[in-house]
Amino acid sequence: MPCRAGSTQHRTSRDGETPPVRFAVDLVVTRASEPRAMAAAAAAEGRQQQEQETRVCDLPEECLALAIALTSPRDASRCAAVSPAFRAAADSDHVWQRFIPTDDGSFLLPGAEKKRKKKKDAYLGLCDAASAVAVGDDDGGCWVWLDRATGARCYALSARRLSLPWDDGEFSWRFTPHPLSRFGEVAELVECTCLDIYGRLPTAALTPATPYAAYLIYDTAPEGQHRGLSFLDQETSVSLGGSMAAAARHAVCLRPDDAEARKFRGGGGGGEDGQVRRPRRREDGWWEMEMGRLPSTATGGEPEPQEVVASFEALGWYPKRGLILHGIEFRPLH
Amino acid sequence: MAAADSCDGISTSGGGWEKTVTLVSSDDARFEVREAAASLSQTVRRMIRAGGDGGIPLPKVDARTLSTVLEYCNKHAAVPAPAPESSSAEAAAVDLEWFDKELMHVDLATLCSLIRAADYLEVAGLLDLTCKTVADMIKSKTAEEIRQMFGIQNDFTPEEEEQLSRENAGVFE
Repeated sequence: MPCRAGSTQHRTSRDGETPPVRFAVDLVVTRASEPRAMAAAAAAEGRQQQEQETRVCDLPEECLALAIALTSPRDASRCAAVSPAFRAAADSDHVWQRFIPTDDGSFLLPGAEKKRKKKKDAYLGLCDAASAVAVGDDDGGCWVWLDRATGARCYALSARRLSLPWDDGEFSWRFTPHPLSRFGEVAELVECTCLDIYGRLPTAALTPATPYAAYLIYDTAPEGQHRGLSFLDQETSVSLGGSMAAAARHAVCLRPDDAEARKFRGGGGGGEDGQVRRPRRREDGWWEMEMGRLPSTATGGEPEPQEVVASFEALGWYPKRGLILHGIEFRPLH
Repeated sequence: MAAADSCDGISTSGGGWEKTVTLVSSDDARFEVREAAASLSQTVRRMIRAGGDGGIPLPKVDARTLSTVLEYCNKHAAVPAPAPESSSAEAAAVDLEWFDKELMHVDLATLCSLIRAADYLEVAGLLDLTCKTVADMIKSKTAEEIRQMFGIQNDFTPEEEEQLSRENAGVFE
């Protein structure tokens, strides 16, 4: 006959007596949250429990893979180095399938990588910036690849995709082939007085819940052939939906030159904290300037389509020339 | 009342009649559970459909683990159909989230038993919850830290070790 066991746990009696039926409906289980209680419970459970105790490495491969799939590509790669059992789970297709973004219609990932046998290889094939693929319109002006450690999408917009000032008409910019450009061509600044550059990307294209930064990728013409790129009146910003008023502006200098900077002294510049951001030389030979950071987009809600706008501006009206513009990249921050 | 007593699987709860089923753990403990809660387990649901009497045997789950699984099922089965954007639905969601968080305050062995049980019983929500807990433990740790945390021996052969470092050299770090 069933009897109500109340709110405490009863051990199964060992003398073969019929154990009581418990009403689990309002069963309150005393879980071992304190170490002492845990130890006592473990001791009491005895041999029987010891047999059943499961350790992480004893979990079925599928269960371990389920857990690892909820981490990141970098975490999964570390798991693969833990033990053979972990490696089997961490290299499984279930894990890497999750890290390959599903096509959302607007930004398609290449089909070629989907055909690879192992999902991990397919994932790695999408990661190199060198193996980035063109997406969107057919002009080849927007490329996508995956950030290896996080699996977040990275984008590069070619100079053709950017808004450039044409105040001096067709003499402002010249599109020319460039050996270092994946786009095949770059925009070379011939001459202009007012220099502002804008790059736009739909926020839907970015991986959700991931902080991003935008980078200006460029070079300058050889010494003597560039002008006006070393003054400290350059600013960048990154904003959502083009609300420039709210966006933080950063003081930058595309081609730092101390002599030029001295000439410019007294003309302001230096940003709020007096720090002028300098560029970084990349392994592929281009210069890279961080334009600003974008707060991570929400995972759900806010279906309103928006754009990320990254801008570069030189405030002064004076002749500028010799900027070789490769494009703008949007990449996750680490 | 006598009729109710003799009829296994029917009990009163909160004034209404609810159908219950009896689950039997590997160590022969019997649990009487509302069918709605037990049915969160696809394995149990199939066994209920298949019929039979004298309780549903679950030889792969011990009483201690089963009671936690059922605690989860009871809580999650009690949630009424979601009425989106109502404040009560929101409160219920917050309450569930809190409950789940509390439920995961267990030692590692218990957590692993729960994963096994959730996998065997096919309680999707609990499997997801427990795996997420393990995932959070793994995140941002090195291989050595993971070994220490889980008490795992590094039993790679030297050849495997070498192959690993060749494959992963600089790839992710």
